[in-house]
Amino acid sequence: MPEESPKSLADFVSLLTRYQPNLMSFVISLMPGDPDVSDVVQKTNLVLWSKRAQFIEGSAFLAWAFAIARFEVLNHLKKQKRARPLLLDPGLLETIASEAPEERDSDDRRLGALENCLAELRLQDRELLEHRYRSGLGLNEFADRSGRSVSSLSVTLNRLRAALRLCIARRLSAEGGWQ
Amino acid sequence: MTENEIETAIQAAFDGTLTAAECGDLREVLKADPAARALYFEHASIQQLLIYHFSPSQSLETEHSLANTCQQLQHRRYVRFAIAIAAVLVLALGLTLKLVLVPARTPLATFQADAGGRCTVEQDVSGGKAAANELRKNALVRLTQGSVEVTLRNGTRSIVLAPASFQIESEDRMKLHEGSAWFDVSKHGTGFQVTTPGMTVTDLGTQFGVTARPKAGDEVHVFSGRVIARSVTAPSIEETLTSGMARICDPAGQLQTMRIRPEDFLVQLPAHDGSHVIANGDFETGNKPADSRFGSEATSALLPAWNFGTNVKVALRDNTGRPGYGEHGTTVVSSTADVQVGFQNDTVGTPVESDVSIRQNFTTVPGTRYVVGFEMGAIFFKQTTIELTASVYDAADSGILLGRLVQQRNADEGNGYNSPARFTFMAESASTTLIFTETSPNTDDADPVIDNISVKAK
Repeated sequence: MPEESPKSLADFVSLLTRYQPNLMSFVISLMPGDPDVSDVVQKTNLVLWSKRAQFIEGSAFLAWAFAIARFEVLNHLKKQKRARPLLLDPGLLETIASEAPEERDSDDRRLGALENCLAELRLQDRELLEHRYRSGLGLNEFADRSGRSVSSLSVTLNRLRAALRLCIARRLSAEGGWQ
Repeated sequence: MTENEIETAIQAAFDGTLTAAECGDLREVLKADPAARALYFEHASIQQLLIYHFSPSQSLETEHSLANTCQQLQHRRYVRFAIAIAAVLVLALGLTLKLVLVPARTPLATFQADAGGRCTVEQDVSGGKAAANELRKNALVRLTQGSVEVTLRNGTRSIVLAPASFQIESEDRMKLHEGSAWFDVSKHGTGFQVTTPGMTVTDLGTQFGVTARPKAGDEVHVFSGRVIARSVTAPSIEETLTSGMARICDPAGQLQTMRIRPEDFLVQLPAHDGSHVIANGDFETGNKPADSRFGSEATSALLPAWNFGTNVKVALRDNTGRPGYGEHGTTVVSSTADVQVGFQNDTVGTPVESDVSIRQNFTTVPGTRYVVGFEMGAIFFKQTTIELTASVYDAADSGILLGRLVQQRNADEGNGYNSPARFTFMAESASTTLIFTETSPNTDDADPVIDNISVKAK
């Protein structure tokens, strides 16, 4: 590999950093419900880094990153012992991969909107979301603690995420556009 | 499937709870319906946002160590940003052999931000991984909030106050592009230089402060020892300054005399635990003058981080040397018996709010509840009631009141402090302002005092 200038290295790191959320969303969309999403994102990062010399400055970084992520997802799925039904068959996976949005609001704006929307929720609703996404545990433990059934919690979770989707869209739209 | 059913199924897919039959149904819908796929992408994005938002913050160590990002962050969006950088640099570490061959060395400089400090560092990492708190040659630090302590290899210390940006060019030289920085130069660091856009300050063994502000002249303030100040635009203009002297470099490059302003500098990072979100709530963080110089000088020196009115006075002891706030041997002391702030407005009737207020703007996390704590007391030379109002507003000047508590003390209760007071508020944005104002109906011959202000996330 030719010697890299600190600037080009820094530029590459900057691109990789900036697009981590997009990469994560992309992999999530190709591996719905798969607990290994983070591992695949990490492997994708490894490959992106090792292939960084192939990246042409000024070209579409995200398209390149998505192509590599798609291969990593396919590799992962090949190796995986399937314990549950797979939503995306090869044809649908290609459709999802090809239609995945590349451009969207900045991660900061989206996270800011999410935080404002979370602030509008009741405490117990925020706790439910926190349990689901922070602990990584299923709903059983939360059901025991809250005295609610898992199915009831699941319905609440769906309602909350649907409300958050609309709230975030509304806030970003008010700020200047949801893409 | 209805739109609601599709949305529910999409969420179940991301939760991994779809049955085989539901999976088949959703698959067909997604294949056929572009709107369903658009909804699917939106929920993938929501999943990513929630994962980022609720990520456990213990990842911070790794982020710090690898990300060249010094933010002492209270906001997870930045934490996630740092995680991303960390991930990349982990790769760099694993894939570049030379990185592991770099011998151990003493860093050029290290830094530590205060609990509320927010800063970013841009520096060359091609030579290998930087330690979490390391600053390398020419590292550019941007401090947007709070303060940061920098310690150079030669032992020289600096406390920089936001907003600021600076570069460590070597252990003998620092470039202050903007901000306010206090320096304690070690004996090994004599000759240390600070350059600003308008001035070069060369240490001759001393403690001094330098400010560089856009659209204002750069300043140097000498607290002990000597420095040489030289104009950048007119290098022939040079002056040796000693303790108690201050100069401002005017647009023509002339060094003009000005009053020394210790209040512009911190000499140590605010000493509080990480949960505090305001600075200098105990009034102990400033550049404390000698006891003999307590008075207006002490007031300005001991209220860094606060904006305060003309009738606000800091006191450590009265004019007879007795500890506490007061005069003629009549004093009050807070629970910590140290520096207090009094609202010394000797007029009949309610005082002008701006004259008897202290205020501080600080960073908050929207949706988070905070607890404000403080001690209010009063000293009386007549029969009256003294009142102090604590108010919390969203942002700097929004006028949106988030919380308020009024504390009173009557002369019948005697000179002294009330029990510590507390109230809560819910932050609405990333910026909140806390104001304490004397609101006594008649403030003549009696003063409220305050100490040990804290704001913590609940």
